[in-house]
Amino acid sequence: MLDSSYIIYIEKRFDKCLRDLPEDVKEVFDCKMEYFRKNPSHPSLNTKVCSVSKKKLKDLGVDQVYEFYINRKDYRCVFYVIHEAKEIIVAFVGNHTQVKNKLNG
Amino acid sequence: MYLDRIFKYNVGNNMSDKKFKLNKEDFILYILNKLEPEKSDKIRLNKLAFFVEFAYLLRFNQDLSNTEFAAIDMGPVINDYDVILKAMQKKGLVKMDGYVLRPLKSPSVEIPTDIRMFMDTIIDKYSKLTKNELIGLSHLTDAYKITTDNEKKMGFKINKKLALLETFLTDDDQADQPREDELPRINRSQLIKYAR
Repeated sequence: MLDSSYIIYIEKRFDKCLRDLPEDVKEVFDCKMEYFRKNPSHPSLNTKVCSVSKKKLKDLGVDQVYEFYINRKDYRCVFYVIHEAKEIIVAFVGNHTQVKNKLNG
Repeated sequence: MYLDRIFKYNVGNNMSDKKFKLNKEDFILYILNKLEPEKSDKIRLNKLAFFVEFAYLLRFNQDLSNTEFAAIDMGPVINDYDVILKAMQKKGLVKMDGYVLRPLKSPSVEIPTDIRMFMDTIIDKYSKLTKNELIGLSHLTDAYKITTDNEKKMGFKINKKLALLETFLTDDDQADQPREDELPRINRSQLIKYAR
């Protein structure tokens, strides 16, 4: 179970993802991140555990993958959890197209 | 137009085909009867009514009640809730003591079991939150943000079709999850603590 004792990290390049977000989405993201910091399982986030294979988790070096939607289902925040270290790592914020472009780019 | 279109084509209504609609007094009475006495107040009623109605709309694409909602500075509320509650008090349906509210009657209609179960799930989920959390949460809804133009205009009725734009009221299915090949690798040497 996630709680406020987990420390949230982001990659430096993630700043660019945030800058690319539409203003209204960014605003909602900031609000939701506040809730997330206080309680990653807060009902307003509808945080979900993603179904990821053990092989992939090992490959990523994490225990679990979670996500919550920011706005209207297309913008999502994906994050990784390492329980022993109590780390939450924000992996990506954006929509499907941005995720695909990012991976192919 | 766009809202009308997505409202029409939204799927997922597997509940009874019979259109069941509560009147606002029965809707209010049902919620109040579910609240613990120490948590029975106007704010909680307003917030729970909004979440229940909008979650139902989103899930089943039809109104649960004929209750209307308005967007004010404390978030979405039942439109004219004070007038409605005073009228209910006169009829001996509720007892008001300042902000504290207690039901004196049960709803006048039998609510189908499946609908009751749906309502109870939402009521249970949100009644655990504090009043401030409920207010904060309701401010985050797309329906409220759109109606108030990001909190610039207050006092307007909320179009109930905006329920279809909400995210946190849904239970998303597995199909919406990111694919494994979409999950980016993290460069740990580039990690920094998140600060707003």
